[in-house]
Amino acid sequence: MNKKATDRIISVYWFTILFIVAAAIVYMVSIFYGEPYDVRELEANALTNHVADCLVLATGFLKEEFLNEESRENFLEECNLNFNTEDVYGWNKQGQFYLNIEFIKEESLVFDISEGNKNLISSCGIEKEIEDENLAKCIEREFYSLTSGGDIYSIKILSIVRKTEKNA
Amino acid sequence: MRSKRQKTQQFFSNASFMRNRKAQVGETMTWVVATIIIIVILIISVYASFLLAQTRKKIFVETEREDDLLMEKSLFAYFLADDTKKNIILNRLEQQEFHADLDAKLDEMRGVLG
Repeated sequence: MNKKATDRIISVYWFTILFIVAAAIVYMVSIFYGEPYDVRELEANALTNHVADCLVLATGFLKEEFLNEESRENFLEECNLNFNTEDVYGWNKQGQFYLNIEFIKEESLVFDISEGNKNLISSCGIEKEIEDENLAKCIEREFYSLTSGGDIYSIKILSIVRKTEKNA
Repeated sequence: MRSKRQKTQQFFSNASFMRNRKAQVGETMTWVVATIIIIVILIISVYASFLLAQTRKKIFVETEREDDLLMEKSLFAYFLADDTKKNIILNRLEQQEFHADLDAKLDEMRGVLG
């Protein structure tokens, strides 16, 4: 075989290898960055923090307007919360968020505030038994707050975020 | 009938052809092995990036942080309460788990408030 033909074959070979390597790099980057981040826990924590911030005044006392029923009914508006989601995967048909706030005084429930899709509660408590990423993420946290009258309220916030399709 | 010179030329020509052929086979084998090595390295890299993608998928919040908003809210209530209620709140807080260090935050707030 003459030298010219050999060089041609080698250059074709080099281009083929170059293409395979480039394609593999593109594929590796796409699988590495294509996997969705599961930020539902962070989202539920952010929701919990926002609610806690809304319930307590800057002075540290509990906002007593939430002790009357009218404010509790407009809780989402009062706290500038919006549970609407983008209209994908049929998310608008079933809510992707649920929020439950229990106001406990001296070990007994005084009242609670519930907003969002109640069906999501079924995902909570079973995540330790069933490791299923399709379950909604539940975060339950508790803090204490004082009214200006000196009553201590234990406030339990349960935040649930579904949004499975974009996170799991 | 061929001359002695022609015979000699023929002999060297055949020997050269064989040597050339052997060299070509050797070079081709080098390329084949190199190609196999490149493909194996690429397959390993693709598999490794797939595994890495699986591990970095979840973002946990259990890690220790400097601040925990809910803990701070409870500590505000602790400092606002009278002495008997302070003990109740502190006892309950000590039973809870937070993202930040409760004792460190309590000392920090005591320092600020005097």
